[in-house]
Amino acid sequence: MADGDSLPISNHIIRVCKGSTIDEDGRPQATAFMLRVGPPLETYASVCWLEMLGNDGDQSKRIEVAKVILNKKMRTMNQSAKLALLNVGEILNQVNTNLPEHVLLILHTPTIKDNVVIDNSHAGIYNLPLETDDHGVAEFVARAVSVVYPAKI
Amino acid sequence: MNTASYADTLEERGLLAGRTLKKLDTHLTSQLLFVEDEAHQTSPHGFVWGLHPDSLSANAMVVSGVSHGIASNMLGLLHRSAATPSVLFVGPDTVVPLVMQQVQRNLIRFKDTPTSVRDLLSELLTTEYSMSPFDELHAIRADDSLFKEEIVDISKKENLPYAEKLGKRLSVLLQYFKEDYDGRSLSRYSLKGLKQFLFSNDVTYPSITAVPNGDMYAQWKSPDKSHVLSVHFFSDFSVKFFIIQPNNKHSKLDTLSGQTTVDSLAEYLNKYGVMSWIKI
Repeated sequence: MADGDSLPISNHIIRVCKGSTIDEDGRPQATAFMLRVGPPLETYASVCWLEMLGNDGDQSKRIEVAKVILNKKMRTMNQSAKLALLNVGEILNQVNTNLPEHVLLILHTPTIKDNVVIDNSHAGIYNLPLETDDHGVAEFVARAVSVVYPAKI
Repeated sequence: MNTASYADTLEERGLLAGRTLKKLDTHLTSQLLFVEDEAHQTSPHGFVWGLHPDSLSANAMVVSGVSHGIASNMLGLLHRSAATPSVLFVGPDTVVPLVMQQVQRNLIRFKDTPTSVRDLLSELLTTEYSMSPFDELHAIRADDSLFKEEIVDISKKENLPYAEKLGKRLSVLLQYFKEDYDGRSLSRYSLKGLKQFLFSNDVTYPSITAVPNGDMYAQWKSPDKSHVLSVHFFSDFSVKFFIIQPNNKHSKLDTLSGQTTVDSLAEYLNKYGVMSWIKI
């Protein structure tokens, strides 16, 4: 899979959702899928592509690995943060069905430093609304969250 | 309104002319953005501010979202320009308490004493930034006090059945947001908009989270969760709303979205039948 390729619809992603975007029932709201105007301007929402972490069919193991990677990547993972599990096909289905004029993309976006791939599981949700835009797309992406886990190890 | 037309407005009102206007125009294009209303815009240099056209009288201005240094200068100049300067300062929350304190203690010094808005603007654009980085940091860290005042006000609201619960939720949200964004506070003005809507319309308790920029985002669901309303309350008292509800004739969802002001929101929601299911 090359940089910029679409993720398979059967695959899953994990999004780190900040505590301030989680409602009182522990569910991420649309605010977890809005891009910051910045500076710097966010052009996609960072996610971890689970199936890139192993293909042995054990989802729970992959989630544990993702948790370690994400905690290491984020210098300080707040206690209130959550990991949201989403199926790629379900996200696209929610948006394509309800807002058919909007093109949402979920693309492989490996993290590269000094021409070396340092995180091949990194992906991005593109064409999400900016924090000042209409937020309908973010609402439907949030609806696709299937399971929520504590983020901090 | 673009910068050129704003400058035209100032000139028409006799507030700026000649060299001052030219200087102002130069600054507008180089580092500052003026906006017609209280909507915030960010200049390439990071300043965010606007002058309200209705407030352009000799010693009165409404300023929103100025940078700390500019705010210091503006308030100090106004303070010196009249015995009782008529200043309504609206944000950002980080700046107001510290700057007012500095003005009162006469710690801010300027080259000249302006006698008009024209002089004031001219002076404003040439006076050096006079606050230390330490003071700036202190202001940023201390800026949740006004948001907390709003929470206290909400908690005391007797005819709001969930006032205490809402106050607690907002306190937790503020704590989480500060953790998420390096101590930055939530927007007091966005919360004021949310308050205005809740206090005026007898609606049920919403689920509240924070937009990355610190605005309030409220969501209501019908008891069977088939109907959803979400509203982004902006700092300038505008709102964007999004409605999801089942289509009565087909097994699909209808979506409706719009943008209005806080005080017109209920009217629009009523048209779409939303008020009937979010009312207490």
